[in-house]
Amino acid sequence: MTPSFFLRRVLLIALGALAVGSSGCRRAAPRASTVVENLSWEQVEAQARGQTVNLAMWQGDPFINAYMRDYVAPALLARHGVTLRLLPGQGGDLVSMLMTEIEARKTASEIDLMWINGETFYQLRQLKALYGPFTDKLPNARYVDFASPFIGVDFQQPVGGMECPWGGAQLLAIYHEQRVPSPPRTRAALAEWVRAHPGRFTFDSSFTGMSFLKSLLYEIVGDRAVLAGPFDEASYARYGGELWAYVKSIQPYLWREGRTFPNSVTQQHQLFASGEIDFTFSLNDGEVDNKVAQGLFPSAARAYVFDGGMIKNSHYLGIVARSPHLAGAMVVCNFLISPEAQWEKQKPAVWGDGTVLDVKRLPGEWREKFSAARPGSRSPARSELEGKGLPEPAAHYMVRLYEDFRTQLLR
Amino acid sequence: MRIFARSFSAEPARRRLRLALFAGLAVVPPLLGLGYALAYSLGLVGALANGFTGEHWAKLLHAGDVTRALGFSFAVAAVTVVLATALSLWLSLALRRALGRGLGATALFVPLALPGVVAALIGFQFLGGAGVLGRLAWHLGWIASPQDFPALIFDRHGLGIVIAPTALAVPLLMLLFARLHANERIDEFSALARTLGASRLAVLRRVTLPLLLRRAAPSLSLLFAGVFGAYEIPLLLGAQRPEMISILARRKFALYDLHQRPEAFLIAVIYAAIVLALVFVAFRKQPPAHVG
Amino acid sequence: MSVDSSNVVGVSWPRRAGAAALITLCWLPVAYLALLSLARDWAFPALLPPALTLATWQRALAGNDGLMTSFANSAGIALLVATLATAAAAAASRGFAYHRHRGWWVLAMHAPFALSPVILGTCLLHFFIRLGLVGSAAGVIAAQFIFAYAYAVIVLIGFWNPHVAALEDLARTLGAEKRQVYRCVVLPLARPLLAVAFFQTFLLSWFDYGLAAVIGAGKVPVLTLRVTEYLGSGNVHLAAVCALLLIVPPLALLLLNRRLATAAA
Repeated sequence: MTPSFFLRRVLLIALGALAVGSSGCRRAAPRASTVVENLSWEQVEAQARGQTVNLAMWQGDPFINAYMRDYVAPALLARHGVTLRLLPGQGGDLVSMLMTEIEARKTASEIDLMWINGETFYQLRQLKALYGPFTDKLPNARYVDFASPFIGVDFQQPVGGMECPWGGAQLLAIYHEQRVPSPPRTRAALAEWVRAHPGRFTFDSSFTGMSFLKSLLYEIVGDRAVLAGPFDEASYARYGGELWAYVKSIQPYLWREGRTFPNSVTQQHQLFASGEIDFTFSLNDGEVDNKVAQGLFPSAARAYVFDGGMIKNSHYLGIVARSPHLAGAMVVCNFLISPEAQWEKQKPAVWGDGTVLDVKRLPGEWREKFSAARPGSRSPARSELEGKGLPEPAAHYMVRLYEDFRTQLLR
Repeated sequence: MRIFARSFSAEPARRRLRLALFAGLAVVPPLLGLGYALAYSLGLVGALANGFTGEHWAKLLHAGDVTRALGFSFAVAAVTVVLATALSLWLSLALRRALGRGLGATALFVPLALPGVVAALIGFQFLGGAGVLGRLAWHLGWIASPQDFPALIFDRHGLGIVIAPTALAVPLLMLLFARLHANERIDEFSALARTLGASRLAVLRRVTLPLLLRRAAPSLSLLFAGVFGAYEIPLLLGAQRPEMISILARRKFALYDLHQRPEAFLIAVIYAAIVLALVFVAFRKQPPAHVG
Repeated sequence: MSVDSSNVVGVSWPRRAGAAALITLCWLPVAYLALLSLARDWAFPALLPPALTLATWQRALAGNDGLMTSFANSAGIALLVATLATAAAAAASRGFAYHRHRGWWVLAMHAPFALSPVILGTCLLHFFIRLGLVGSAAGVIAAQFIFAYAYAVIVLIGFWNPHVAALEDLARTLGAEKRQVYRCVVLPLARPLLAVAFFQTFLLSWFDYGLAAVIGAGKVPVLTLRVTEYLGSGNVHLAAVCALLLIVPPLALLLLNRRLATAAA
């Protein structure tokens, strides 16, 4: 047993490990996308049968989780034989994971379908990590209202079939009816209220809070056309400057003297529920009724919109380019935009999420159902929201807001 | 240590190889990780990398969020270690006999079963404005509403992320000091010093504390490293700014601006260098007989 | 002059009160979590919950939220990590311990602890993806093994001392084979320390958050991740249940161990 004998053995093992490790990436499976593109929908459904689709989504709301887990997943299994697996992941974390996969030259991604929004859409296109265009292939896509500027355009980017609309959101402010008899509806009124009631108002430092800031930005600008189109540094410098001046002027009167902010809308909901603050926000129209029914919000909670309007947007589903289950992902997507799934989703007791379907294009019985749908009693009526929806400005505005939030407010 | 010149059945070369492999199991992954991190921070690897560049490291020269996070993490770790050491020394020396061997000593083991996430949950429930302490304060009439309670979590000074690890570390250190006290025969040395005429304070200063602290140095340095790179507790109890470095590294890893990713790896390299240096120094100062 | 540290009789009452307070503080978190897991609608400023209910526990044990699966995952992964790490460290420690530069080897074993688990996981993610280990329990086990093995070596290296070396020599000169020496002489002596190493590495894996989060990539639900998930979604009562599921098994084992240790002493 000479040393060289062992050295040779070790070298062989090492080479073997290297070979295994690198060949693991170059799996010989044929690229599924070429196959799926040429198939008819029946063939896609047939191929999807038996697949497990990994859907990455925000899991911060137990109601949404219940809808996916207890309604969508069983229905998919029963009707299409597709197993839906829900993974936590959203925004930057998702993009980061996909980017690492690209760097490691992985051919089959761990994720198949993603619940995404405008800024993630932008990053994923930067990385070429989205499969598409695919929405034309989905039979239920004919009901989707692509013509609406809130659905067909995502943060000023045309969707182009690269992501499928899933639901609609309208930012609402939620307040306590008894503690706040007449809630402020403009920037000036808010500033007045905040000064009169120090420590009772705040907004969170993530997506919902930024949507609130964007709404204030629109009010400062006045003319919606200014924020349309791609990001404009000059506009941001001018109007953003005014926005931060306004926020800094009310900062000492915010919760915790504005020295810290809730790090998520969930945290803010808890503060509202425990009575520490009098306001919270939500991008979900049905949030108030939802949470009151759950016993989490006091029954005196109500929702309303500022006079100048508040952000209205849609959220989407994207398919990962390197997904090994493209057929399954498309089947899941198609189900999620079906009238039945959208109807279930918009029920205030389930999720209360707005639908992306064009009511006029739906078949008879669904048309009646959706037309008759009422928002919860604690949210503003549909007529009140007419014209109050503000389109999302280009993604980079929000990126700058995130950055400046840290440098301007959290010094 | 010559007494351990053992005769092994295998030849020196084979034995060396085996030792190297066994050592490699623990040493190679961190080295590999650090090597990758260094390469990424220099722009040599990465999906959006453009070749060697010193721009990310150059950013350190200006005070930015990386230097701030490093300073903050260092401060938090230092304060935690000093506070925990002082408290546990005092408590273990003062209550050594009162705790005895039974119920008292067993109770000290209970906090060892609390991981970071649970400590964060407890911290959240106790230290929040509407938490247990806040409610006690309200009942005592000290505050009128939750927001009058001083901010102990999500605050800029990182009070919560010092209190929680300290609370976890004190029982651990108390057990350590109790064991060292027995092993180092402190009672006998103290008794000897007293008979030679030393005052109680002098005994404390010249016998007890030096012996205990010197022997505990490796453990204390590991505690420092642990708090320095802590993740779960700052994640759940910390404010957004200033940040601890593990949090900052993860944030930069998954940021909207994908070009800041190399900074995450840069942080990893610096952090590792600091901790390695610390552990090295702490272990070097050990008298040789201790190792083992 | 010997000082009997178990003699509590001669202790003044302030010290006894202090000890009692400390003991209470040590148990307080566990007691509070138990109360929180049974509570409902426990809002400011109530010091005690208005009502107690088993509903949260029933929900947790029913299986809809997958808590039992997460418990099983945590347990299975921890057992595997502890077994692999202790076995490997047992094999490795003798060579390090009897080496001339034992101190350097011990120092080298601290290498993984130079990085926090989250950071090491992030740095190694690239390699784990290449090896196809991300998103699987195998990957999490492999990642946790790095830390557990290094820690187990540090623990087990303390076993090999001149006394044991002398016993080994004695057995060899009496004609025992190497295998017999290990099985009949060394192993019985090492059993207590092996148990300690096993238990500590089990805890290391059981309580791990960073590696399970980064390498598991959301597909390996373990209890530590679930606690964070519930805390993040505001479900404090479920978080408490999860936390208790996380800490009660190790706590029980720790206390049992103490009972045995004090009984033997």
